[in-house]
Amino acid sequence: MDSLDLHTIIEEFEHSTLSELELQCASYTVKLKRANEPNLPPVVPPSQQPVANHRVTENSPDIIESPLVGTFYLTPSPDAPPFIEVGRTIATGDVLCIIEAMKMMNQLQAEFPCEIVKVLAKQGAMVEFGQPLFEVRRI
Amino acid sequence: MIRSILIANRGEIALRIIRACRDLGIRSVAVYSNADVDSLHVKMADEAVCIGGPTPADSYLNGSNIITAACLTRCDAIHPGVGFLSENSRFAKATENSGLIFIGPDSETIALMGDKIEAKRIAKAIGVPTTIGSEGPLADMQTALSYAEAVGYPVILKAAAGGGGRGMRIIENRSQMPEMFAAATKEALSYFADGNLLLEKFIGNARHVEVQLLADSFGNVIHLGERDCSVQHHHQKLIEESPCAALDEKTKVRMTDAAIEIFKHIGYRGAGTVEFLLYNDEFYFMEVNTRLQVEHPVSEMVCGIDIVQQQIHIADKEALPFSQEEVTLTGHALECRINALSPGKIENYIPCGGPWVRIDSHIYSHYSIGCHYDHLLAKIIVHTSHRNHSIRVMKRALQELVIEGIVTNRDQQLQVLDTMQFKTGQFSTNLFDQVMSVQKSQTRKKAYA
Repeated sequence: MDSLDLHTIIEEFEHSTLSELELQCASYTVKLKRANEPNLPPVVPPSQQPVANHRVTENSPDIIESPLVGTFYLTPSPDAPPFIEVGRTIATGDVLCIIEAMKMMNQLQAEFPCEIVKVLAKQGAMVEFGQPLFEVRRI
Repeated sequence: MIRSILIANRGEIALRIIRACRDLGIRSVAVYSNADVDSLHVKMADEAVCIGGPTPADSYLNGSNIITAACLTRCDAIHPGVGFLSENSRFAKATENSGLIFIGPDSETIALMGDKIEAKRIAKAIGVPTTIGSEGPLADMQTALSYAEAVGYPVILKAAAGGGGRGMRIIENRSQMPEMFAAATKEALSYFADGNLLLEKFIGNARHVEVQLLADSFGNVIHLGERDCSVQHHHQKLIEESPCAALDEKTKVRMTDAAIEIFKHIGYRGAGTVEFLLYNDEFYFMEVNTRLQVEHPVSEMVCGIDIVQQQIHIADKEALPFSQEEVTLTGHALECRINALSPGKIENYIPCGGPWVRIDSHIYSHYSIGCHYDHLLAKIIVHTSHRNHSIRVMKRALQELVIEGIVTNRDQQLQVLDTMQFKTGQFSTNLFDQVMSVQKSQTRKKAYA
């Protein structure tokens, strides 16, 4: 790390596929972020989307679980409004969130009409297979 | 520098790798399927990520989920263990492409040695003896017949892309060929998505002997002695030992030299094994295993070198810290694999112990053995100064071992150890089947008595 000057870091960042970079060393902290994403990662077409797992228990709301390992995003891009909000009703096929894996943006769609009761995963955090993402109530 | 490793495996081998990480001060991340929530590797690793459902295709073979988990838990490297993705060159390539280190040979080497026909051609080209047979994939059944006539029956059909006994058929005479050819092709297609077969002269009374090697990125290749893995059932190894009781010093030197020559020729990096058939002091190249092997502890015990730690150092671009002259092989090591013969819950487990015994196992009391994965429960390894002593200690260890609630192969293993052939060291790959057929006929006699 010692041999890298700021110029090199910026250059490396510009040529990388990263959208954000934060570096800390003894002498400085640098945080780089792209203004406009020039090449957004590909969005997986709905036909190839992993199917959302949902767990149904009697007399309690449904739980929608993550069908894959990845990074959980509630918003289509960092500055955009979220796909869903608590209290909103969702139709079958509506996008709930994005799970980023292997540089692919996997959109997770609702399999049934429902109302969002609670968002259980954290924006930008890792989700594992089977991890509860949303608590919903079927309509 | 490797500071965190994701272990893309389960069972005893995952624990083995977690322990090597602990010894090196490396953080370990386990992955697991829904069916393995209560597994020891999940509890023992520093972190664990659920990667899918119970079937291997959904979890332990799900490369995308595994690589994503490695990236998101900030791992530097992936250790594939044995089986699952350990010899999958596309997974190795995808790991490399994600900026992670694949702990194993590079993807090109895995692909090259995965092609059994190409591997045999390379061995032959550098003067290593190979079994006689077809030089390439068989075009059709007629070609198989003409090769079989040329080399003489019995012959063996093998999947060109295969291993582990899948797609293998032994053919005693001409009339068996049509049926066996069709069956082997079908099996090879379903297991390896490649129906190509090759044909070899079948050597019946042979032993399976393999050489353990370590090779770094700087062209240093050393061997850690050989392992005899002749006690097998359906081409699955059951008992392994080092040194091999049937190998004289001269043949041993020729065999280890041949193995080193192959690794140097292909520019191998990492830990790996060259497998040979041994018959009357002559050996024939079979294949290269481009990964850690289940029976690696046998070599670890006789050379005192931690093979998994060396794999990590080599992947980290370090040179081997010792030369061939500095490797000393001492005493005799023997390993028995304890397998479950039925699924179920282990009601009670009391491991064996005492001097000269090592156990690599992931089981515990009240642990359930499902039907999704292999049935290996424990590897019992003993290391003593002499083969006879090792056999005695192994018998003591197996008799002490308590696994209640499920059926295991412990008694079968004891029976094999008790045979005159095993005690004298004069046996071949059909020993296990011989022992079992004797037992069957005795049971029948008792029933009629």
